[in-house]
Amino acid sequence: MNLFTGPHSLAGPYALDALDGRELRRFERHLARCAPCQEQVRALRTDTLRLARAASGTAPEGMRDRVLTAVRTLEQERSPQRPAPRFTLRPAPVAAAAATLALIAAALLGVQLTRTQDRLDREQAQARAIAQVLAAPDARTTGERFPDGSAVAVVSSPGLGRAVVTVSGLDAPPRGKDHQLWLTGAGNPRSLGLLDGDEPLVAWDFRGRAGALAVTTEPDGGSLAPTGRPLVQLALKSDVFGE
Amino acid sequence: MGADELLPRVAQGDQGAFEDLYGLVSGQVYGLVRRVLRDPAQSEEVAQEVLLELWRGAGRFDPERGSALAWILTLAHRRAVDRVRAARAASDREERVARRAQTPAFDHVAEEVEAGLEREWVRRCLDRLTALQRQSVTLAYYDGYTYREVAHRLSVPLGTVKTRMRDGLMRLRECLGGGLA
Repeated sequence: MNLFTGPHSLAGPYALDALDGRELRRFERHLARCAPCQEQVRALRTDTLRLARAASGTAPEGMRDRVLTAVRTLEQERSPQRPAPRFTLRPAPVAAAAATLALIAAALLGVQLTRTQDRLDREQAQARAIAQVLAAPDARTTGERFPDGSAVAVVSSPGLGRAVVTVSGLDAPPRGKDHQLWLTGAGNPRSLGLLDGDEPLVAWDFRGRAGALAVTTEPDGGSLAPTGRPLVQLALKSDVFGE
Repeated sequence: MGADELLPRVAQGDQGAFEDLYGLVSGQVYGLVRRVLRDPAQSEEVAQEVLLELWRGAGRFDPERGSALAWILTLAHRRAVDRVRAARAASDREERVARRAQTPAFDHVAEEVEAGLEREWVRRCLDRLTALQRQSVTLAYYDGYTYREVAHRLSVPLGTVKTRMRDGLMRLRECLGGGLA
C-alpha cells in the first residue's frame, strides 16, 4: 500500500487535527483497519505533542478553585467502554457559586459559555434557568449519544417542572425550515420549542409520565403538531419526571 | 507522580489525584488552548471544560495507545480547534485573516508566555523547515485551520499540503531528536 496517496496520505493532517466533518470520519474509519496508518499517526502525534508542549503557559488564577469545586459535584462517566454513556449528577451543593454551576452545566450539556455581546442578555436569562435546574436538589440527568454522531442530553428537575435539553450533532435544517423539539407520551406530542443549533433549550413545562423526546424538521417557525419524521428520539423513563 | 500514574487514579474517582494532575497539566492545557484561541476569556473557558472532561472521562484513557499527557493535550487541542472553527464560521474570518497577516505565526506567542527550553528548541527546529512546511504545520496546529483551508490560504494544491504537513512533522522530529514526549 502506498502511504503517500489515497486515504493514507491524510495521516499528516489528521495528526494535526486538520481534518473535519465527513473527511475526518472517513479517515477514522480507514484508520481503524489500516495498521501502517495507525503506526504513522502514532509517530506523527509524538511530533505534535512537542508542538503542544512548546505552547505551555500559566493557567489563570481562579481557574483552579472553579475546576476543583466543580469536580466535587460532577460525577464521572460510569462505563467508559460503552459507546453511549448515560450521565448522572449528584445534587449540586447549594453554596456552589454561579460560575461553578454554569461550568458544570457546560460540561454536562456541551454548552459553550462564550457568546457574542449582543446575545448576552438572552443568554444570561438562559444561564440562570440552567443553573436553577442544575442546582435543584432533585436534579437528574439522562442522555444518549447515537451512532450517527448526534446526541441528546437532558437535565430535569421534577420539583421545578423544568428541564434543560441539548441536541447536538444534527445537520442544520434546510433553508426555510427549523428543528422542533417534541415531548411525546400520553396524548398529543407537545412542542418544547425550536432548536437553535447545539444551544441548550429550556423546557419550561416539563411534566408528564414516561415518554420520549423527538426532533423533527418543520416549516420555518415550527408547527402545532409534528409533520416530519423524527430525526432523533430519546426514550424517557418516568424517573426524569420524578415518578 | 506523573500524569501516567495519576490519570488511572482519577478514573477511580480520586479527587486528590485530580488536584495533583491539575497542578501538572493545567498550564500546558491552558497554554495550548490559548495558543490556538488567542482570546484569554475564551481560552479559560475551553481549558476549564477540558479539565472537567478529564475528570469525567478519565476512564476512557487507554495507556496502550500512548501517554497520558499525549491524550490530555490531544483532547485540549481538539476542543480548542473546535471552538476556533465555530467562532470563525460564525463571523470574523476576514478580520482574523487581516490580523494574522501582521503577526508572524510563532514569534507572537513566544513573547507572551514565559520562555522555556523546549519552546526554544521547537522554535529553532520550526525555523529549519521549508517555509511551506512550517506554514502548513503551524497554520493547522496553532491556528486551527483545516488542511483544505491551509491549501486555500497558501494557494497550493491539496496534495502538496498533505505532504508538507507530514514531512514537516517528520523533519521536526529529526531536529528535536525524538527524546521527550
